[in-house]
Amino acid sequence: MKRVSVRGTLSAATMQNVLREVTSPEGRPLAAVFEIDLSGLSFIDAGGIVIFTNLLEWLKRRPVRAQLVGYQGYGQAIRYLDDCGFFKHHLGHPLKEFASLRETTLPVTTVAHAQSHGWLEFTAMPWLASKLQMSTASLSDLSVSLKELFNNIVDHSTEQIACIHVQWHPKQNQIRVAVSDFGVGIAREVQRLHPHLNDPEAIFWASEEGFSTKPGGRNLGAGLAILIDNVVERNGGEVQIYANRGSLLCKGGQRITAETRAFYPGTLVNITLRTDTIELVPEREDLQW
Amino acid sequence: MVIVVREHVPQCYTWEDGAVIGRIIHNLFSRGEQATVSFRGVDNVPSSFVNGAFVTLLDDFDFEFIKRHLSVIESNRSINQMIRRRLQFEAERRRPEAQPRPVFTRT
Repeated sequence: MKRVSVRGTLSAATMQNVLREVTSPEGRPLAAVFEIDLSGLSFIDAGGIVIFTNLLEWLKRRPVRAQLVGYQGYGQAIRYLDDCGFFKHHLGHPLKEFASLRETTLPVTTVAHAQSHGWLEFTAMPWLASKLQMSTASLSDLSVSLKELFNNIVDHSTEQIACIHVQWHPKQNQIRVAVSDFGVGIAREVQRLHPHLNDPEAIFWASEEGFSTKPGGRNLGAGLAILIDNVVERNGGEVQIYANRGSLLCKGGQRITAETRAFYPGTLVNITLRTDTIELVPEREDLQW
Repeated sequence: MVIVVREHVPQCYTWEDGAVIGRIIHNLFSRGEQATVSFRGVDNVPSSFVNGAFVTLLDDFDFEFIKRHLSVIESNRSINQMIRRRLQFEAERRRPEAQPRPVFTRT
């Protein structure tokens, strides 16, 4: 049995500390039984919740047992996890009866591709539209971006399910969305075609329009490029992609790749969208070529 | 002929959804007829849908023919930009004189 302590902040930036204790550099679990101690956890963001949920789901799909301990102290981070449905998802029940969803979040959830369109159209977008007091049509760029991600997962991942968490930060005028699958990861998928690329290069390659790991068929390699254009170029937001041992940050005019210190099982996409630059969609219009 | 997409597919989401619309347009084009596609009741479409509905037409019809014979109505900025972007990109890529792009260049 291997004991893993989650300490301080858990986010995409700090996930390496936990991942190094759980996965080998080649992407294998480091033990058959894990005891994951949450007593030192002080803060967790949207990316952190999705990473953690994804990691537990990834372990569940292997002959590995993971037990959560150290949550009895019910500090702020544990309370947030309880409020957004993390324990209900993993233990089958919330830790406290009074745990309830906050005004500014949707529950952390896993969504299969077959349900993803309905979840976007009837849950996520209407919820965000009501919070931002705008029409769902005005959220088209975000909706399309998430549809691109879900379609990307079904086209490229070995798993057709994604973990997702949505937060609204009214004071910062931001929406933060974290989405992750626990498939082989974009980098590994690209390297089947281009084995000379390292993980950060492979992620960068996948983000370019027209490059697909399944060329010549229904997939034309546009999804990630459109996601990045919608969020970064048009909205002024930010996209971070993590897969295997690589990352890509898209912000302003920059695209920065980096090698990570630990292996991430699957692909994580963190989206930060500005709510003050969302363009209110005008009346319907016909296409002009 | 006006093709109201929501009368043919329950959602405008996947390549398969788009291919349903693509086949109808293809049949019209094959007879030299005009196709008018209505997105009444649809707020946005991802690239997979557009690839299935419109980009597949490039296999048998050139971009100029498509522009002359295809109208899109009751749409919006988001949908129109997606259709234009995907068709322009793929038409350019399929030009015989188009150069393949390098996979990756280390700097």
